[in-house]
This record gives sequence, structure tokens and C-alpha cells, in this order.
Amino acid sequence: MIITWAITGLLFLLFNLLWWPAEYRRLAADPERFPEQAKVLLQSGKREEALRMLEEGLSRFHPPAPDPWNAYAGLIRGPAKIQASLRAGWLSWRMNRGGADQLLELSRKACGAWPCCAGAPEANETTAGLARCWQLALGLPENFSFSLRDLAALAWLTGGRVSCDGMIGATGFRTDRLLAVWSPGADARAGVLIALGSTVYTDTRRGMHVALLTPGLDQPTPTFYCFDFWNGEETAREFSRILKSAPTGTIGIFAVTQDSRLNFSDSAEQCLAEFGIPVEAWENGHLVSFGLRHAFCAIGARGAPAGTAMAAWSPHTWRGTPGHPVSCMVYPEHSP
Amino acid sequence: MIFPGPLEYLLTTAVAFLVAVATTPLFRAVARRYGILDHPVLPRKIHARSVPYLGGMAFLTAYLAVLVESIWRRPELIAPVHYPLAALGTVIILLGLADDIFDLSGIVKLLVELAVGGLLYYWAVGEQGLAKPLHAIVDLGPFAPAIAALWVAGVMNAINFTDGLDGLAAGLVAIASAMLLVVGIINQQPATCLVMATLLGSCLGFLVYNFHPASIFMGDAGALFLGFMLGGATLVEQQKGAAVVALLVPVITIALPIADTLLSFLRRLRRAREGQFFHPDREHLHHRLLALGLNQRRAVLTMYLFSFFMGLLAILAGVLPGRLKPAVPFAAAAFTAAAVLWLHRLEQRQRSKEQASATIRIDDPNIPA
Repeated sequence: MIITWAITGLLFLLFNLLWWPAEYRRLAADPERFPEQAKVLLQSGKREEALRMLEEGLSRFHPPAPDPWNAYAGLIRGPAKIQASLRAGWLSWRMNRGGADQLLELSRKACGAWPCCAGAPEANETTAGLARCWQLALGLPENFSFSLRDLAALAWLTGGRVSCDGMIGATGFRTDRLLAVWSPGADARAGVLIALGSTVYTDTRRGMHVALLTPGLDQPTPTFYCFDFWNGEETAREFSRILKSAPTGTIGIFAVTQDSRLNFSDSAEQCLAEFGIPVEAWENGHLVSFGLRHAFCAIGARGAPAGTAMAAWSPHTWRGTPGHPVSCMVYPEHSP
Repeated sequence: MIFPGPLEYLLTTAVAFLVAVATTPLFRAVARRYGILDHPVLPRKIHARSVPYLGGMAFLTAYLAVLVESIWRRPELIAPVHYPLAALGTVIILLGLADDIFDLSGIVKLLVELAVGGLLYYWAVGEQGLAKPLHAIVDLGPFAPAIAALWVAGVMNAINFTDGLDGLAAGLVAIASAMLLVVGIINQQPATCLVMATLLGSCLGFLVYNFHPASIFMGDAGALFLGFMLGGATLVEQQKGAAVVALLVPVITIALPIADTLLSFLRRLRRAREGQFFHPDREHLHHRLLALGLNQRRAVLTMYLFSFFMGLLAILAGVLPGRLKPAVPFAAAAFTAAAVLWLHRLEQRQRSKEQASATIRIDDPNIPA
């Protein structure tokens, strides 16, 4: 047996000697390794290329780790530098499970550095609902209170999209009400939250939650749906049917929790794209569609050009680091 | 991920075939040199002379060679699951070699197989979705690793049980991997395709020496390795970047070994009261075909034919739209049950004939009382 085991061992050893040099070379070229690649570029004096690589990597992977953001902050100036530093601060806080006061301080700093924050309205139900979601997701004490300004700053800090002029991203559509959406990703404790003015919808069921606001009505009543894509292709067909039947200008609000993307068909993806929502994400070096355990939320409008909606996502994991909840908000200044 | 074309996998099959053809005689020589031979001493052994083991090493060599060739020349073929399969496949070969030489107890083997299946889950799979046979997905939660380990260990044993006739296990795995390769190409599953193309090539290469009359056996090392690769690679089905355990297609593809294992399990349960659960017997499907009077070649070809048909059903299951998919597993189950019942009926008929001829002999006035 010693002979046969020795032959097998030698075979595996030889394999490893031939495998790992090529594997390291392959890993070094992996787009997910953009921080290391940028570092090498920086060391060889290629500052502009390093900056481009970091920008592209950050927007492509939304890494939930502080280092790439710190590296980026070190290379830029102006408001973007402050945002990158604050974002790195948030991610450090999250990774190190910092205290509630530290988080509040961080969000207040963000609020000070970001002009949109000042115009955030007060809306009690929405504020309470969103605060509850963040509390559950971040393990904050129950008596901890946020104002909507803090929550808007937190959304901005965590890579979410916030619009303070009522415009829904670059879709060309606007709203005169406060719209907010929150997605926890894989964490099912808090569920999703969708708020339209004073109407707050929360749900802990897994799936993609959708609220549709029909245009042209004075007080449009939202219609809420929950699509559990784990259930099969039929759900994707129903999702497509409902989204396709929405008239142009319908505002669509989307939030995901614990969803499956296996049955999220190309046709369903196309329906999301028709609301102006970008539908591609990077995971483990591959381009994939949204869903599964990503944190993902978006506010779009039917008929908007692709990629113009407000969308935020965080990966399920990025190189072993779990993603974080994301939120999007839109409000005309001081809206009720 | 951009899916490589079918020609890439044809090349992989060719590489694996050539490596298996080239290395099998080397391992045969080593086995002869060190006396690692399968002696026909037990009643369940079919062969008449001592045959060298170590054929399984050729499968491992072919897989490792394909990985090295791919990572240097065609890295786009490599998926994260491939290295864990190589490392844990080596562990399985070590286990199989120990079993070939020392005849390890069944419980020890089973425990190692389950542990390796569980390790593979944590190392390379890590998802909790199970594709239901009737086409949807259930979240397995904490049961996912246990189900993955049971599946891998189950397939390993199923392939091992069929390794009783010259060319049988290698041929069945070649057919199953060819079918799974076709399904993988249709569904664009690069991780599965590379493994299946390698299994196909290495099994065909090995069959050059292992088809009746065999000059080398794969041994437990080979059978367990083939089962591990088949079970491990089919554990993960990548669709739209999502990994789920999707067992419908592989279950249909290897329905024959699975049916044989289930029947063996039932027989062993019957014997369990006498403490004989882990004791092998001579009642596997191939033994029963031989008992019906088929020669080795015909018994093997009959089983190939059955597997080929099941493979076609598996391809159908892989390509049919969701609503029609549920019909396929029912058809496969019905066909397998019908085949087993038909075999049972043939055996009964043969027994009746034998009893009748024995009665005639007893009634013969020329036989003294």
C-alpha cells in the first residue's frame, strides 16, 4: 500500500507544482482582484490607470470591505474623496461591529458633507419603519433613534441612491412624494420596506417585492406584489406579465430578500430593464443577473432608458466579506 | 461567464482518452510488479484468473492532466469546483487503494465517503437550494450539507456496486458522462462539462484494456473515484450564476446503478439481523443477468443499452420546458421498474423450468430410489 499511496501522493504533488503557478496568474488577472491590481499599478507609477481600475472595480463589485474605498480616497480630491472616506468608515464600523453612537456620528458627518441631506423631510411612519429595519440589520439597541436625515445619510453612506429634487434618478420622471425602499439581502429578520409618503409596506417573505404606482392619478394607490422566484418559472412569467402591463410612466419600486435568481428569466430581466434598472452584477468573476441573496433595491419608471433608474445593491459576499443592506430614497425637498 | 464551445470539450475528451490509454499499461505493470492483483477467490468474483488492480489511478491521472492542460492553455474552462474535486478525488483514490489491498470494512468506507462528500459541499458548493424534480427550487437550509454528502456517497457506492463485470462500470460511467456532457452543453454548465468530458475520455481510454477479457481492473479506487466525480460534479448546476443542487438529470442518467444499489440495500436490510449488512453478495443485476445464461459481453451490452436509453431520457429532462419536465422522471421510474420486474419474471420462468426438469429427473424410473 505504501507504494501505491506514494505514487498517488507524487502524482498529486506534481499536479500542484504545475497547477498553482498558472492558478496564481489566473487569479491575478481576476477582475475581482482589482485592489491588488491597482496597488501594483500604483507601485509602478501608473497613477491614472490605478485610479481608473479602482473606479471601475468599485462600481462593478460594490465591495463591502473598507480597503478598496480607502485606496480610492487616497487617490482623489474633493467631495468624492470625502464620500469614499466616509464609506470606508461605515464599512470599518460594520466589520468591527462598532457602537450605535459611532454610527450616528458617522451618519451626521455624512449629512454634513452632503448637501442633499438638509432637505430630508420628516415622515414619522417611514422614519420609524426604516429605523426599525436598520436597527434589526445592524443589531442596534431598540431605543436608538434616527431622524429621516440620518437615514438618508445612512443610505448614501452604504452606497444607496438618494435624490432630493424629486427626480427619479436620470429617468426623466419625478415624484412629489417621499419614496423609500430598503433591502436586507440575505438577512431575513427585517424583511424589505417600501414607503410611499405615509404608506409603509414591510414584508419578511423571501422574494422580490414590487410596488407599482400608476401615473395620472391624484393620489395614486400603490399595488404591492411579492414574487418568490424560488417557486419556478411560472413566477417569472407572472412577474413579466404584470410589469409589461404597467403603462409608461408607472413608478416601480423593487426590493429583494433571500430571492433566487435561477428562475429569473431573461424576459423578467428585460422587464426590469424597461424600468431603467441596470440588471447586471459581478460575482465570483462572472457577470450574473440580480437576485438570490444580493441586497438589491431600485426605484425606476416604466419607459425610462436602461441604466437611468436609482438602484443600489451589495453582493451576498465579496471575497468572504458579507454584503450589507441597501436603501434608495427620493423626495422633493420638504415634501410631506 | 462566456460558455466555451463544444469543440473545447471534445478536445478535453481527447486529452483524457490519450492519457488513460497511455498510463493504464504503466499502472498495470506496477500492479503486477508489486502483486496488487484481484484473485478470483470469493464466490461473487466472476473472473477466472488474477487480474491487476490500479486501473483507477489512470482516471485520476487523466483528470489531473486535463486540469493542468486546461489551466495553462484554456483557463476559461476552469471553475472553482475543479480543484476541490481533484484534491478530494485524490483522497478517495487513497481510500480505494487501501480497500483494494486490505479490504476495509464497509462502515469505515461509508464514513470516509460521507465526510468527503460533506467537505466537498463546504469547499465547493455552499448553496442551499435543491432543484425539486418537478421543477422548482426548495431552500434546504441546514440540511443541504447532509443531502450533498448522502448524494456523493450514494453515487460512489452505486458505481462501485456495478463494478462486477469486465467493462461494466467504466462503460456505464462513459455513457452517463456523455449524456450529462450533452445536457451540460445545452444548459451551458461549464463546471460540469469539463468533468464529464474528462470522465468520458478516461473511461473510453480505460475500456481499451478493461473490456472483456479485461487485462486490468479499476478496483475500488477507480469505482469510488468515478462515483465521486460523477456525484460531485452533478451536485452543482450553475445556471445564471446561481448554484443549486439539481439531481433530476443525473439521477435518471445513472438510474441503473441507483436501482441496483437500492435493491442491494433492501437485500442487506433483510440480512441486517444476522449482522451481515455490510457483507457483499452475488445478487447484483449483472450477477442476475449472468445467472440467466447471458455471457459477460452480452450482459454488459444489455446494461449499456438500458443506460443509453435512460441517458436519452435524461437529455429530454434537461431540455424540456418546465411544464413537461415532470413527465420524464415518472417515465424513467416506470421504465426502470418494468425492467427490474421483467428480469424477475425471467428468473421465475427459469426457476420453474429448472424445477420441472428436476421433477422429471426424480420421476425417471431409471434413477434408483
